[in-house]
Amino acid sequence: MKKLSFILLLALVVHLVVSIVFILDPPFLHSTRLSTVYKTYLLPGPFFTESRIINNYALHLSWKVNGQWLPPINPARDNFNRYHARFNPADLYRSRLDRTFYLRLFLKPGLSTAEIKSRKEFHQFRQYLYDQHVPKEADSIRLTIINKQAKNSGLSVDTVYVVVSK
Amino acid sequence: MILISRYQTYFSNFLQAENHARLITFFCKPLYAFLFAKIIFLWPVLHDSVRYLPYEFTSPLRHVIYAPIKLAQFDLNAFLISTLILLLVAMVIRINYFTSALIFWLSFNLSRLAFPVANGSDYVLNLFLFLSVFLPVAPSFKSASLRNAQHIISNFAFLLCRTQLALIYVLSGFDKMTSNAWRTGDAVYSIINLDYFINPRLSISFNETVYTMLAWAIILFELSFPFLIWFKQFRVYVLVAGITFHIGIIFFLSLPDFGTVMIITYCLFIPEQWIIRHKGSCQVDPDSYRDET
Repeated sequence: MKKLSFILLLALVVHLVVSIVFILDPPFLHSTRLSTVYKTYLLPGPFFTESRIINNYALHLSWKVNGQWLPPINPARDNFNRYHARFNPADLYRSRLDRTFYLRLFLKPGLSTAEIKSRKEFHQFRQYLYDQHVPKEADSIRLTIINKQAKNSGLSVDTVYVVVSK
Repeated sequence: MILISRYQTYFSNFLQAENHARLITFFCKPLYAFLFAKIIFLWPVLHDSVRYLPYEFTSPLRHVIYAPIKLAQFDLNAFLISTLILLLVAMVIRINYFTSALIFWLSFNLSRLAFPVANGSDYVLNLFLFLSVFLPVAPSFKSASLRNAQHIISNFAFLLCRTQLALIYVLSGFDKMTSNAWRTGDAVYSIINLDYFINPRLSISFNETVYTMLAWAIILFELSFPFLIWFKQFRVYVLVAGITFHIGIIFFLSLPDFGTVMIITYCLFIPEQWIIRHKGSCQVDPDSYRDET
Protein backbone atom coordinates (compact mmCIF):
# COMPACT_ATOMS: atom_id res chain seq x y z
CA MET A 1 0.00 0.00 0.00
CA LYS A 2 3.02 2.25 0.50
CA LYS A 3 3.74 2.02 -3.22
CA LEU A 4 0.15 2.96 -4.10
CA SER A 5 0.28 5.93 -1.71
CA PHE A 6 3.53 7.08 -3.29
CA ILE A 7 2.11 6.81 -6.83
CA LEU A 8 -0.97 8.80 -5.80
CA LEU A 9 1.16 11.46 -4.13
CA LEU A 10 3.22 11.74 -7.30
CA ALA A 11 0.04 11.99 -9.40
CA LEU A 12 -1.30 14.76 -7.16
CA VAL A 13 1.95 16.74 -7.34
CA VAL A 14 2.11 16.41 -11.14
CA HIS A 15 -1.55 17.46 -11.43
CA LEU A 16 -0.96 20.49 -9.21
CA VAL A 17 2.11 21.56 -11.19
CA VAL A 18 0.31 21.13 -14.54
CA SER A 19 -2.73 23.01 -13.19
CA ILE A 20 -0.58 25.90 -12.04
CA VAL A 21 1.06 26.05 -15.47
CA PHE A 22 -2.39 26.24 -17.11
CA ILE A 23 -3.56 28.85 -14.60
CA LEU A 24 -0.54 31.01 -15.46
CA ASP A 25 -1.52 30.37 -19.10
CA PRO A 26 1.76 30.84 -21.01
CA PRO A 27 1.14 31.87 -24.66
CA PHE A 28 2.90 28.80 -26.11
CA LEU A 29 0.22 26.55 -24.57
CA HIS A 30 -2.80 28.55 -25.77
CA SER A 31 -3.79 26.50 -28.79
CA THR A 32 -2.49 23.06 -27.84
CA ARG A 33 -4.85 20.09 -27.61
CA LEU A 34 -3.62 19.27 -24.10
CA SER A 35 -4.49 22.78 -22.97
CA THR A 36 -7.99 22.56 -24.47
CA VAL A 37 -8.69 19.17 -22.89
CA TYR A 38 -7.24 20.12 -19.52
CA LYS A 39 -9.02 23.45 -19.34
CA THR A 40 -12.33 22.06 -20.52
CA TYR A 41 -12.59 18.89 -18.49
CA LEU A 42 -10.12 19.00 -15.59
CA LEU A 43 -9.81 22.66 -14.76
CA PRO A 44 -13.08 24.33 -15.75
CA GLY A 45 -13.01 28.08 -15.92
CA PRO A 46 -12.16 30.86 -15.67
CA PHE A 47 -15.68 32.19 -15.36
CA PHE A 48 -16.85 35.74 -16.18
CA THR A 49 -13.78 36.39 -18.31
CA GLU A 50 -13.32 39.89 -19.72
CA SER A 51 -13.95 38.82 -23.33
CA ARG A 52 -17.32 37.31 -22.44
CA ILE A 53 -18.76 40.12 -20.39
CA ILE A 54 -17.59 43.31 -22.07
CA ASN A 55 -19.40 42.59 -25.34
CA ASN A 56 -23.00 41.65 -25.71
CA TYR A 57 -24.94 40.80 -28.87
CA ALA A 58 -28.69 41.00 -29.36
CA LEU A 59 -30.80 39.79 -32.26
CA HIS A 60 -33.84 41.72 -33.41
CA LEU A 61 -36.12 39.69 -35.63
CA SER A 62 -38.67 41.27 -37.93
CA TRP A 63 -40.80 39.85 -40.74
CA LYS A 64 -42.64 41.26 -43.72
CA VAL A 65 -46.34 40.68 -44.27
CA ASN A 66 -48.22 42.23 -47.19
CA GLY A 67 -45.20 44.37 -48.10
CA GLN A 68 -44.86 45.83 -44.58
CA TRP A 69 -42.14 45.13 -42.00
CA LEU A 70 -43.64 44.44 -38.59
CA PRO A 71 -42.05 45.73 -35.34
CA PRO A 72 -39.02 43.62 -34.38
CA ILE A 73 -38.97 41.12 -31.52
CA ASN A 74 -36.01 39.92 -29.46
CA PRO A 75 -36.78 36.27 -28.62
CA ALA A 76 -33.73 35.67 -26.41
CA ARG A 77 -34.47 38.81 -24.41
CA ASP A 78 -38.17 37.92 -24.13
CA ASN A 79 -37.34 34.46 -22.76
CA PHE A 80 -34.77 35.96 -20.41
CA ASN A 81 -37.38 38.38 -19.03
CA ARG A 82 -39.90 35.55 -18.78
CA TYR A 83 -37.42 33.62 -16.62
CA HIS A 84 -37.22 36.54 -14.22
CA ALA A 85 -41.00 36.84 -14.17
CA ARG A 86 -41.68 33.13 -13.50
CA PHE A 87 -38.32 31.81 -12.20
CA ASN A 88 -38.67 28.81 -14.48
CA PRO A 89 -35.15 27.76 -15.60
CA ALA A 90 -36.67 26.31 -18.80
CA ASP A 91 -37.17 29.92 -20.00
CA LEU A 92 -33.52 30.65 -19.31
CA TYR A 93 -32.41 27.58 -21.27
CA ARG A 94 -34.68 28.68 -24.13
CA SER A 95 -33.06 32.13 -24.03
CA ARG A 96 -29.59 30.55 -24.17
CA LEU A 97 -30.62 28.39 -27.14
CA ASP A 98 -31.94 31.45 -28.98
CA ARG A 99 -28.65 33.27 -28.36
CA THR A 100 -26.46 30.33 -29.34
CA PHE A 101 -28.16 30.15 -32.73
CA TYR A 102 -27.10 33.63 -33.72
CA LEU A 103 -23.84 33.90 -31.79
CA ARG A 104 -22.34 30.83 -33.49
CA LEU A 105 -23.25 32.38 -36.82
CA PHE A 106 -22.54 36.07 -36.46
CA LEU A 107 -19.49 35.99 -34.21
CA LYS A 108 -17.31 34.30 -36.82
CA PRO A 109 -14.89 37.05 -37.83
CA GLY A 110 -14.77 38.49 -41.32
CA LEU A 111 -17.93 36.96 -42.79
CA SER A 112 -19.93 38.99 -45.27
CA THR A 113 -23.71 38.95 -45.23
CA ALA A 114 -23.73 36.80 -48.39
CA GLU A 115 -21.34 34.30 -46.78
CA ILE A 116 -23.51 34.12 -43.65
CA LYS A 117 -26.59 33.41 -45.73
CA SER A 118 -24.85 30.55 -47.50
CA ARG A 119 -23.81 28.72 -44.32
CA LYS A 120 -25.50 25.61 -43.00
CA GLU A 121 -25.90 27.23 -39.57
CA PHE A 122 -27.92 30.04 -41.14
CA HIS A 123 -30.39 27.61 -42.69
CA GLN A 124 -30.75 25.76 -39.38
CA PHE A 125 -31.38 29.07 -37.62
CA ARG A 126 -33.81 30.30 -40.25
CA GLN A 127 -35.79 27.07 -39.99
CA TYR A 128 -35.87 27.41 -36.19
CA LEU A 129 -37.13 31.01 -36.43
CA TYR A 130 -39.85 30.09 -38.91
CA ASP A 131 -40.99 27.18 -36.75
CA GLN A 132 -40.90 29.12 -33.47
CA HIS A 133 -41.62 32.78 -34.12
CA VAL A 134 -42.37 33.79 -37.69
CA PRO A 135 -45.98 33.44 -38.91
CA LYS A 136 -46.67 31.44 -42.08
CA GLU A 137 -47.95 34.47 -43.98
CA ALA A 138 -44.56 36.24 -43.69
CA ASP A 139 -42.68 36.41 -46.99
CA SER A 140 -39.30 37.64 -45.68
CA ILE A 141 -37.43 37.95 -42.38
CA ARG A 142 -34.91 40.56 -41.29
CA LEU A 143 -32.25 39.82 -38.68
CA THR A 144 -30.47 42.74 -37.07
CA ILE A 145 -27.49 42.02 -34.82
CA ILE A 146 -26.70 44.77 -32.37
CA ASN A 147 -23.50 44.88 -30.35
CA LYS A 148 -23.43 46.57 -26.97
CA GLN A 149 -20.04 47.20 -25.47
CA ALA A 150 -19.24 48.41 -21.97
CA LYS A 151 -16.03 50.35 -21.49
CA ASN A 152 -14.83 53.07 -19.11
CA SER A 153 -18.15 53.04 -17.29
CA GLY A 154 -20.07 53.77 -20.47
CA LEU A 155 -21.98 51.87 -23.15
CA SER A 156 -21.59 51.94 -26.91
CA VAL A 157 -24.19 50.46 -29.26
CA ASP A 158 -23.47 49.39 -32.83
CA THR A 159 -25.40 47.53 -35.54
CA VAL A 160 -23.12 44.74 -36.73
CA TYR A 161 -25.23 42.90 -39.31
CA VAL A 162 -28.53 43.30 -41.09
CA VAL A 163 -29.55 40.18 -42.98
CA VAL A 164 -32.73 39.93 -45.02
CA SER A 165 -33.83 36.50 -46.15
CA LYS A 166 -36.84 34.99 -47.93
CA MET B 1 14.47 15.62 2.43
CA ILE B 2 13.07 15.37 5.97
CA LEU B 3 10.27 17.75 4.98
CA ILE B 4 9.36 15.65 1.91
CA SER B 5 9.38 12.50 4.02
CA ARG B 6 7.14 14.19 6.60
CA TYR B 7 4.64 15.26 3.94
CA GLN B 8 4.67 11.79 2.43
CA THR B 9 3.88 10.29 5.85
CA TYR B 10 1.12 12.86 6.40
CA PHE B 11 -0.32 12.05 2.96
CA SER B 12 -0.16 8.29 3.61
CA ASN B 13 -1.92 8.74 6.93
CA PHE B 14 -4.65 10.79 5.23
CA LEU B 15 -5.19 8.07 2.64
CA GLN B 16 -5.34 5.35 5.31
CA ALA B 17 -7.65 7.37 7.56
CA GLU B 18 -11.31 6.54 8.01
CA ASN B 19 -13.37 6.85 4.84
CA HIS B 20 -15.51 10.02 4.47
CA ALA B 21 -18.61 7.92 3.81
CA ARG B 22 -21.13 10.42 5.12
CA LEU B 23 -19.57 13.37 3.31
CA ILE B 24 -19.38 11.36 0.09
CA THR B 25 -23.09 10.59 0.31
CA PHE B 26 -23.82 14.17 1.28
CA PHE B 27 -21.85 15.35 -1.77
CA CYS B 28 -22.91 12.84 -4.47
CA LYS B 29 -26.64 12.69 -3.87
CA PRO B 30 -27.21 16.47 -4.22
CA LEU B 31 -25.21 16.30 -7.47
CA TYR B 32 -27.61 13.61 -8.71
CA ALA B 33 -30.60 15.67 -7.55
CA PHE B 34 -29.19 18.69 -9.38
CA LEU B 35 -28.78 16.69 -12.59
CA PHE B 36 -32.32 15.36 -12.16
CA ALA B 37 -33.75 18.90 -11.88
CA LYS B 38 -31.61 20.09 -14.77
CA ILE B 39 -33.01 17.38 -17.07
CA ILE B 40 -36.59 18.31 -16.13
CA PHE B 41 -36.02 21.97 -16.99
CA LEU B 42 -33.96 21.19 -20.10
CA TRP B 43 -36.50 18.76 -21.53
CA PRO B 44 -38.41 21.04 -23.97
CA VAL B 45 -35.26 22.89 -25.07
CA LEU B 46 -33.38 19.65 -25.68
CA HIS B 47 -35.98 18.58 -28.21
CA ASP B 48 -35.25 21.70 -30.26
CA SER B 49 -31.53 21.40 -29.74
CA VAL B 50 -31.54 17.82 -31.06
CA ARG B 51 -33.81 18.77 -33.94
CA TYR B 52 -32.11 21.94 -35.18
CA LEU B 53 -28.52 21.43 -34.02
CA PRO B 54 -28.01 17.66 -34.27
CA TYR B 55 -24.81 16.16 -32.98
CA GLU B 56 -22.61 14.74 -35.74
CA PHE B 57 -20.38 11.73 -35.12
CA THR B 58 -17.13 12.72 -36.80
CA SER B 59 -14.82 9.90 -35.67
CA PRO B 60 -15.11 6.21 -34.67
CA LEU B 61 -14.05 7.06 -31.11
CA ARG B 62 -16.99 9.43 -30.77
CA HIS B 63 -19.36 6.62 -31.68
CA VAL B 64 -18.19 4.90 -28.49
CA ILE B 65 -17.88 7.89 -26.15
CA TYR B 66 -21.16 9.42 -27.27
CA ALA B 67 -23.09 6.18 -27.76
CA PRO B 68 -26.00 7.35 -25.53
CA ILE B 69 -26.51 10.27 -27.96
CA LYS B 70 -27.51 7.71 -30.57
CA LEU B 71 -30.35 6.64 -28.29
CA ALA B 72 -31.22 10.30 -27.68
CA GLN B 73 -31.32 11.00 -31.40
CA PHE B 74 -33.49 7.93 -31.92
CA ASP B 75 -35.85 8.66 -29.02
CA LEU B 76 -35.01 11.60 -26.78
CA ASN B 77 -37.81 10.92 -24.31
CA ALA B 78 -36.60 7.34 -23.76
CA PHE B 79 -33.06 8.60 -23.15
CA LEU B 80 -34.19 11.25 -20.66
CA ILE B 81 -36.64 8.99 -18.82
CA SER B 82 -34.04 6.22 -18.42
CA THR B 83 -31.51 8.76 -17.11
CA LEU B 84 -34.07 10.09 -14.63
CA ILE B 85 -34.86 6.56 -13.42
CA LEU B 86 -31.17 5.84 -12.94
CA LEU B 87 -30.76 9.07 -10.95
CA LEU B 88 -33.74 8.21 -8.76
CA VAL B 89 -32.32 4.77 -8.03
CA ALA B 90 -28.87 6.23 -7.32
CA MET B 91 -30.36 8.73 -4.87
CA VAL B 92 -31.99 5.90 -2.92
CA ILE B 93 -29.31 3.20 -2.89
CA ARG B 94 -25.76 3.31 -1.54
CA ILE B 95 -23.17 5.20 -3.61
CA ASN B 96 -21.39 2.62 -5.76
CA TYR B 97 -19.07 2.35 -8.75
CA PHE B 98 -21.68 1.23 -11.28
CA THR B 99 -24.29 3.94 -10.83
CA SER B 100 -21.59 6.62 -10.38
CA ALA B 101 -19.85 5.67 -13.62
CA LEU B 102 -23.10 5.39 -15.55
CA ILE B 103 -24.36 8.74 -14.27
CA PHE B 104 -21.11 10.45 -15.25
CA TRP B 105 -21.25 8.94 -18.75
CA LEU B 106 -24.88 9.94 -19.27
CA SER B 107 -24.31 13.43 -17.86
CA PHE B 108 -21.29 13.90 -20.13
CA ASN B 109 -23.41 12.89 -23.12
CA LEU B 110 -26.27 15.09 -22.00
CA SER B 111 -23.95 18.09 -21.88
CA ARG B 112 -22.77 17.32 -25.40
CA LEU B 113 -26.34 17.03 -26.54
CA ALA B 114 -27.28 20.28 -24.82
CA PHE B 115 -24.11 22.17 -25.82
CA PRO B 116 -26.05 25.17 -27.19
CA VAL B 117 -27.33 25.89 -23.67
CA ALA B 118 -24.35 24.56 -21.71
CA ASN B 119 -22.31 26.82 -19.47
CA GLY B 120 -19.68 26.55 -16.72
CA SER B 121 -22.05 24.60 -14.51
CA ASP B 122 -21.96 21.66 -16.94
CA TYR B 123 -18.17 21.49 -16.84
CA VAL B 124 -18.12 21.73 -13.05
CA LEU B 125 -20.86 19.10 -12.72
CA ASN B 126 -19.15 16.67 -15.09
CA LEU B 127 -15.78 17.13 -13.44
CA PHE B 128 -17.16 16.24 -10.02
CA LEU B 129 -19.32 13.42 -11.38
CA PHE B 130 -16.17 12.00 -12.96
CA LEU B 131 -14.22 12.22 -9.71
CA SER B 132 -17.17 10.75 -7.83
CA VAL B 133 -16.70 7.52 -9.80
CA PHE B 134 -13.66 6.86 -7.59
CA LEU B 135 -15.28 7.93 -4.32
CA PRO B 136 -17.32 4.82 -3.43
CA VAL B 137 -15.95 1.69 -1.82
CA ALA B 138 -18.87 -0.47 -2.89
CA PRO B 139 -19.06 -3.12 -4.07
CA SER B 140 -15.95 -4.07 -2.12
CA PHE B 141 -13.42 -6.75 -2.96
CA LYS B 142 -13.14 -9.90 -0.87
CA SER B 143 -9.38 -9.60 -0.54
CA ALA B 144 -8.30 -7.44 2.41
CA SER B 145 -5.45 -5.80 0.49
CA LEU B 146 -7.72 -4.89 -2.45
CA ARG B 147 -10.30 -3.51 -0.04
CA ASN B 148 -7.58 -1.41 1.49
CA ALA B 149 -6.60 -0.15 -1.97
CA GLN B 150 -10.24 0.79 -2.64
CA HIS B 151 -10.26 2.71 0.59
CA ILE B 152 -7.04 4.58 -0.29
CA ILE B 153 -8.31 5.47 -3.78
CA SER B 154 -11.59 6.72 -2.31
CA ASN B 155 -9.75 8.99 0.11
CA PHE B 156 -7.48 10.19 -2.67
CA ALA B 157 -10.46 10.98 -4.92
CA PHE B 158 -12.03 12.89 -2.03
CA LEU B 159 -8.86 14.94 -1.59
CA LEU B 160 -8.75 15.51 -5.35
CA CYS B 161 -12.35 16.78 -5.32
CA ARG B 162 -11.44 19.31 -2.66
CA THR B 163 -8.29 20.29 -4.54
CA GLN B 164 -10.22 20.77 -7.79
CA LEU B 165 -12.71 23.06 -6.10
CA ALA B 166 -9.83 25.15 -4.74
CA LEU B 167 -8.14 25.22 -8.17
CA ILE B 168 -11.35 26.42 -9.86
CA TYR B 169 -11.25 29.46 -7.59
CA VAL B 170 -7.52 30.01 -8.10
CA LEU B 171 -8.03 29.96 -11.88
CA SER B 172 -11.00 32.35 -11.79
CA GLY B 173 -9.39 34.69 -9.25
CA PHE B 174 -6.07 34.79 -11.10
CA ASP B 175 -7.77 35.46 -14.43
CA LYS B 176 -9.73 38.35 -12.93
CA MET B 177 -6.65 39.80 -11.25
CA THR B 178 -4.79 39.86 -14.57
CA SER B 179 -7.76 41.42 -16.37
CA ASN B 180 -7.78 45.18 -16.72
CA ALA B 181 -11.58 45.27 -16.88
CA TRP B 182 -11.82 43.50 -13.51
CA ARG B 183 -9.11 45.56 -11.82
CA THR B 184 -10.75 48.82 -12.84
CA GLY B 185 -14.29 47.68 -12.04
CA ASP B 186 -15.43 47.90 -15.70
CA ALA B 187 -16.33 44.21 -15.60
CA VAL B 188 -18.85 44.78 -12.79
CA TYR B 189 -20.25 47.81 -14.64
CA SER B 190 -20.57 45.63 -17.73
CA ILE B 191 -22.34 42.80 -15.88
CA ILE B 192 -24.79 45.25 -14.33
CA ASN B 193 -25.52 47.19 -17.52
CA LEU B 194 -25.44 44.66 -20.35
CA ASP B 195 -28.31 42.36 -21.33
CA TYR B 196 -28.60 38.71 -20.34
CA PHE B 197 -26.70 38.99 -17.04
CA ILE B 198 -28.41 41.09 -14.43
CA ASN B 199 -31.95 40.50 -13.27
CA PRO B 200 -33.97 43.00 -15.41
CA ARG B 201 -36.29 43.71 -12.48
CA LEU B 202 -33.40 45.34 -10.65
CA SER B 203 -32.33 48.87 -11.29
CA ILE B 204 -28.80 49.25 -9.95
CA SER B 205 -26.44 52.14 -10.45
CA PHE B 206 -23.26 52.89 -8.54
CA ASN B 207 -20.36 55.24 -8.95
CA GLU B 208 -17.00 54.06 -10.31
CA THR B 209 -15.50 53.58 -6.85
CA VAL B 210 -18.22 51.11 -5.86
CA TYR B 211 -17.73 49.14 -9.10
CA THR B 212 -14.01 48.92 -8.40
CA MET B 213 -14.58 47.90 -4.79
CA LEU B 214 -17.07 45.20 -5.80
CA ALA B 215 -14.66 43.87 -8.42
CA TRP B 216 -11.81 43.70 -5.90
CA ALA B 217 -14.03 42.06 -3.29
CA ILE B 218 -14.81 39.31 -5.83
CA ILE B 219 -11.13 38.93 -6.78
CA LEU B 220 -10.04 38.76 -3.12
CA PHE B 221 -12.77 36.25 -2.29
CA GLU B 222 -11.82 34.00 -5.21
CA LEU B 223 -8.13 34.16 -4.37
CA SER B 224 -8.50 33.68 -0.61
CA PHE B 225 -11.10 30.89 -0.74
CA PRO B 226 -8.71 28.19 -2.03
CA PHE B 227 -6.24 28.87 0.81
CA LEU B 228 -8.46 29.67 3.79
CA ILE B 229 -10.80 26.72 3.18
CA TRP B 230 -8.08 24.27 4.31
CA PHE B 231 -7.90 25.83 7.80
CA LYS B 232 -10.59 24.64 10.19
CA GLN B 233 -10.77 27.97 12.03
CA PHE B 234 -11.70 29.84 8.78
CA ARG B 235 -13.72 27.13 7.05
CA VAL B 236 -17.21 28.04 8.28
CA TYR B 237 -16.73 31.75 7.51
CA VAL B 238 -15.37 31.02 4.05
CA LEU B 239 -18.25 28.65 3.31
CA VAL B 240 -20.82 31.22 4.45
CA ALA B 241 -19.14 33.88 2.31
CA GLY B 242 -19.09 31.48 -0.65
CA ILE B 243 -22.74 30.52 -0.27
CA THR B 244 -23.70 34.21 -0.10
CA PHE B 245 -21.58 34.90 -3.18
CA HIS B 246 -23.21 32.11 -5.17
CA ILE B 247 -26.75 32.95 -4.02
CA GLY B 248 -25.96 36.43 -5.37
CA ILE B 249 -24.97 34.82 -8.69
CA ILE B 250 -28.22 32.83 -8.74
CA PHE B 251 -30.53 35.78 -8.12
CA PHE B 252 -28.71 38.77 -9.57
CA LEU B 253 -26.76 37.25 -12.44
CA SER B 254 -29.34 34.80 -13.79
CA LEU B 255 -27.13 31.75 -13.42
CA PRO B 256 -29.15 29.40 -11.19
CA ASP B 257 -27.42 26.28 -12.47
CA PHE B 258 -23.89 27.56 -11.94
CA GLY B 259 -24.60 29.02 -8.51
CA THR B 260 -26.35 25.86 -7.34
CA VAL B 261 -23.68 23.43 -8.50
CA MET B 262 -20.96 25.51 -6.83
CA ILE B 263 -22.88 25.53 -3.55
CA ILE B 264 -23.28 21.75 -3.79
CA THR B 265 -19.53 21.33 -4.12
CA TYR B 266 -19.17 23.03 -0.74
CA CYS B 267 -20.51 19.79 0.78
CA LEU B 268 -16.93 18.55 0.38
CA PHE B 269 -15.83 20.88 3.13
CA ILE B 270 -18.77 20.62 5.51
CA PRO B 271 -17.47 19.56 8.94
CA GLU B 272 -18.34 15.86 9.28
CA GLN B 273 -19.72 16.41 12.79
CA TRP B 274 -22.57 18.47 11.28
CA ILE B 275 -23.68 15.49 9.26
CA ILE B 276 -23.27 13.08 12.19
CA ARG B 277 -25.66 15.30 14.14
CA HIS B 278 -28.20 14.73 11.37
CA LYS B 279 -27.38 11.05 11.04
CA GLY B 280 -31.02 10.01 11.14
CA SER B 281 -31.88 11.97 8.02
CA CYS B 282 -28.66 11.02 6.27
CA GLN B 283 -29.45 7.29 6.28
CA VAL B 284 -25.89 6.12 5.86
CA ASP B 285 -24.44 3.17 7.64
CA PRO B 286 -20.86 4.28 8.29
CA ASP B 287 -19.81 0.78 9.31
CA SER B 288 -20.58 -0.49 5.85
CA TYR B 289 -17.79 1.73 4.50
CA ARG B 290 -15.23 1.21 7.23
CA ASP B 291 -12.19 -0.73 6.29
CA GLU B 292 -12.15 -4.05 8.05
CA THR B 293 -8.48 -4.80 7.66
